[in-house]
Amino acid sequence: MTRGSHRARITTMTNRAAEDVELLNRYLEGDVAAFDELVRAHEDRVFGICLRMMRDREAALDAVQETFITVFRKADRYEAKSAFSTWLYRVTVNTCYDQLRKAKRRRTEAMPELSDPADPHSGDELRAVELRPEIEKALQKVPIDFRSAVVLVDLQGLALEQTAQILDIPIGTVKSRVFRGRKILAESLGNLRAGSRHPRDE
Amino acid sequence: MKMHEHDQEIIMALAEENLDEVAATAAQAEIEGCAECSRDLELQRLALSVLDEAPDVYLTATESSRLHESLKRELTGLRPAPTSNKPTVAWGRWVSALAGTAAVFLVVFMVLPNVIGGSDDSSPATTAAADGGAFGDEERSTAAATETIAPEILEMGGSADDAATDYQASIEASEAPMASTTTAAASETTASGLGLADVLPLIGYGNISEEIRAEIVDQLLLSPDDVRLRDELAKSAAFDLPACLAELALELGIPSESETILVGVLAGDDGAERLVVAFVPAEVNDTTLVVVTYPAGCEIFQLVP
Repeated sequence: MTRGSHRARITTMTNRAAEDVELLNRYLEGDVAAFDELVRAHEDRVFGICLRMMRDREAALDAVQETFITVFRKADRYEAKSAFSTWLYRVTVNTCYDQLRKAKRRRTEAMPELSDPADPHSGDELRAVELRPEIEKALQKVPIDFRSAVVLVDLQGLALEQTAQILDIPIGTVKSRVFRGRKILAESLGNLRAGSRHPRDE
Repeated sequence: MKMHEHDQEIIMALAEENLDEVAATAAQAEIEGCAECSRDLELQRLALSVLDEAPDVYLTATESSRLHESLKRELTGLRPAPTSNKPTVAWGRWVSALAGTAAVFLVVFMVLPNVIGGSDDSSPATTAAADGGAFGDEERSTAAATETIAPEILEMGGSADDAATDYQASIEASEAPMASTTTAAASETTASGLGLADVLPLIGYGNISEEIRAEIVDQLLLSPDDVRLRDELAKSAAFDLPACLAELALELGIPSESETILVGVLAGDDGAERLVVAFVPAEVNDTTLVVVTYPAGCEIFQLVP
């Protein structure tokens, strides 16, 4: 793939972690623009995690906003003992957990079918472009603890060590969750594909 | 002991092709004697194959703009500003995008030989904004993908239960001033026949600081090796501007024949042509669009009033 190589190169040449800490410090000293830079640097990755975790785009956007608000509020508690991104992604995952719990409560009250695939954005052009519905649907079949590990390791490409820090679990547990998550995902995909081979008109 | 009972790791490593040849052969032989292991391996490979194909996802320009605006409101405790007739840029990435793009203008036309110092490894990683949709995803890379991860244990948990409460009271911050230094006289013109006076009305934003200008040049790894006339650029198949505009038209519903003003091309530090800046002075739902194309693709900066 050639597209995007320039951007990737730019990113590679930058010490992102050090830059993050500097921006956070500037923000804590009152420079609001510094936080905007931080958001810009990480918003897509945060959004990627949220979207994979939650599927629904609007819900993911809410989670992204909630994540950064939390970081706003708790910025002074970050002590740079881990990469800022690790902390940020941990907040992200926790926010997604929270939002999913709330959504589950709401759906339980309002709808009998928790995993109803229909949503108001199913026809969204962006969804068609960006997401693979089959994969997303199968991913939603993966229990949240396994899904978060698969999302971070396999979709976001994070190292096992960082994923362990983000999820606050041992590396061995990360591996196990990734293994089991992939397995469930693959089984779901198999079921979905088998199901799709039974069109009504046959 | 059966393999699947004790060594998921080996199956994962085999599926991920992380074993050397000897280890892989041994593991494969062992797995072949274990039906459940074989199935697990097959499932791991299937999952990996589909996950590997999953495209990156990203915020669209509008979503990003909304995010920044809402965060700004959270941060400052202010309500949204009333709509103004004067074109302004949405807070956030678009400011940087526009400033950066305008900076490229200035670099190309005005102060190229004197300002640019080449690429800088310590430059900020903030990238100019890209629009979402059909042709932005592959070229957007996330900064964190290449960062160094410190091995220490996390300090705080990051529970988000109280995320949206008592926020305003906890933050007392004011906005940092945006760039405000005018860097070139509006009456100046260049070899291309365009001057700042021609350019600025198109982008509606004329105050670019030296700092921002230098930053965008650094970020795009530009050097002033090549500035060509727009007529030549218009004919350049390498940049495929029509294709970019066609996608733009498809994405945002603007006529593909909207007037476009090509500006110039700059060489990267590797000597390869890297960037064409084109401005589309079209109004789409009160949104001004700026198009940046380069050989590997194109990006759209959306300036929301």
